[in-house]
Amino acid sequence: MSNREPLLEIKNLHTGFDIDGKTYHAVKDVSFDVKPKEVVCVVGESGCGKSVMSLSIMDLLPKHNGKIDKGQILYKGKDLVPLNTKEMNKIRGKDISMIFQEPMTALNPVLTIGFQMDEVLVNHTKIPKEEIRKKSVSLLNQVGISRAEQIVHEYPHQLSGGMRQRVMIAMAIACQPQLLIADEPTTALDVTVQAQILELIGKIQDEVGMAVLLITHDLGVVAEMADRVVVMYAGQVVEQSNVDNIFYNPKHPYTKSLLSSIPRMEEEVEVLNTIKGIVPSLKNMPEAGCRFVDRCPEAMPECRKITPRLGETEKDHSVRCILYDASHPDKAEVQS
Amino acid sequence: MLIYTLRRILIMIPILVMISIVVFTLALAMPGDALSGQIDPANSNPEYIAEMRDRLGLNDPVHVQYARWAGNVLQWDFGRSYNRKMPVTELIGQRLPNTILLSVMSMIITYILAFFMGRYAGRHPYTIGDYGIQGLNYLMLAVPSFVAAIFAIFFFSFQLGWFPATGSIGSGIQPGTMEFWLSKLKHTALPALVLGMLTTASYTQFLRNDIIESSQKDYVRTARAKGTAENAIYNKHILRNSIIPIVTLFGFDIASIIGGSVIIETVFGFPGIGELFISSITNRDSSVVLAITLMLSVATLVGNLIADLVYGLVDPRIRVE
Repeated sequence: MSNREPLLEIKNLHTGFDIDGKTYHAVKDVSFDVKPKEVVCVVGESGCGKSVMSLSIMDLLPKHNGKIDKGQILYKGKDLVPLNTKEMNKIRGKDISMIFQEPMTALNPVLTIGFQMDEVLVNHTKIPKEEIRKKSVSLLNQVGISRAEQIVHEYPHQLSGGMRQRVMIAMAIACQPQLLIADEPTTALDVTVQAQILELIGKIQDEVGMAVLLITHDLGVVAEMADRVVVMYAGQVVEQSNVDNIFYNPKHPYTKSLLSSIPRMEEEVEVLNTIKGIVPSLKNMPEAGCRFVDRCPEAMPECRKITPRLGETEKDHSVRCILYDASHPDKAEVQS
Repeated sequence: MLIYTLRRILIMIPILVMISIVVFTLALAMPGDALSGQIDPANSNPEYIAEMRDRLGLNDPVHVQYARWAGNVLQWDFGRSYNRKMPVTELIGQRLPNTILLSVMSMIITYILAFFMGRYAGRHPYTIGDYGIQGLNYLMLAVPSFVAAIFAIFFFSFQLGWFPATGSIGSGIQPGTMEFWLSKLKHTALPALVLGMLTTASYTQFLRNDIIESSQKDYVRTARAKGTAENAIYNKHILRNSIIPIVTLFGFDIASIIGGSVIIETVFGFPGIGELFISSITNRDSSVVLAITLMLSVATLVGNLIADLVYGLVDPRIRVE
């Protein structure tokens, strides 16, 4: 499995925001790969830089203050960071497409569903005009919308949240992309609809044969969907491995805390486990030491002084915590 | 849609009745009447003047006068102008085409300028071009229209001689000929330009701000994620949304097409409704004042109705089924 060439390689990505003339990094030194047809889940609390990371891949950061400072985003070996808008437009929606958290606002309220569906096909294919609408209708059918013929003439406000997210998925898969980035696609939906949408993404992934980069904070979703898991905390990757390692052999205290805060049916507990405190804000990020130290149940005095590195403790399992020698900058064997 | 429109028109009737009562009462409450100040008391018999007042019904109780006036209005009889000695309908009929021509020309100028300036400034905010457009906006908002009008007359009429300074038609031209219409256009151009330029500011600013706001919306991000070119994003996705608040201003404009501009018409000596309105008020020519006020009320109500219907056209979310 892991021998295939990666489809997407993120290398040392630093994404920052300019606030009052200073650059604050919301994503700091993030590296991971997505291989073809693989589902990679990025997990972490709100404010961990998951969304900023995914917007960086698509070059959709807010133009006025967000920018990629350092690092590479290699898609099939080609770096996307230096591309201009025109060159990115050839890739966005065709090779890499994206669906968002808020289906209620992600569609243009004054344009018909049909227009918005057709647009992506007009942008990237040479299908003749008369055929495009037919293709849009069949795509809508493919994502489980039964009244597609009528819906193309309707406006977003006439559809429910789940239906809108289906429309978003239909647009995203219209050109059979290699990679689908789904940024918390089910967070804004009802629980029953969530399951349907995830099932749909899984089904489409099989049909189209695309890779999925799923951003979520729902570990239930991760268990169900993921091949690999990237755990992010405060803009950094703190642990990454395959899904079995993350669930059955978690190493980083943050991952352990996340897992222990899942409520379990079989155990009777009075109080739900939580991780105390909040993710440090962009402006209050500690300069040195571990970023999780204030909330870590296993924190030691050294944690405030020694900045851990992401080190491979076992094959295919990397952790950023000085409890493990591979992450300790002084103890680890020198890596390239 | 049709039923909605009919219902709105029916609701206008009681509103108009109330407006007419208020306006009629206010017109009578003005000190003096058409006879005061017009006739030299030293020259004519005060008893004769009193008798004239009696004959014109000016001494009757207010409700009797109102009933008489309202009854006539229902038969499309707005009475005669006391000062100009002609039927009010005929008087307004002479002035209305001038005012409509002036208003429509200035509106076209406003819309074209505001559309291009607002679109540019909204797409390139906080650039030199944007600051230039905003500076121009504040200037036009700050300069009083009579000052702008006098400057325009000074430069374009007196110095450059491009446009005539006053009036709405050259002398001795036969109505209906090509020359007549060209002369009309030439006389209207300068006041229309001044009027149009000065009202550009609010439109430009509205459009600019809405484009900036819309460009940060989620659906724009979606369009970018689909690989849509920036031009198409601005011209289709954003502009279609930013037109919506402009419709509100459009509703006010419909009323002002008929109302004209008091100040500009007065400065340019342009025989339009605004100029007629002011001179009728100063002369206590109440039948003319009443007719124009009623006409403006109808225009405002109809303008609002049209604006509401246009809202439905540009915004599917509030479309009436």
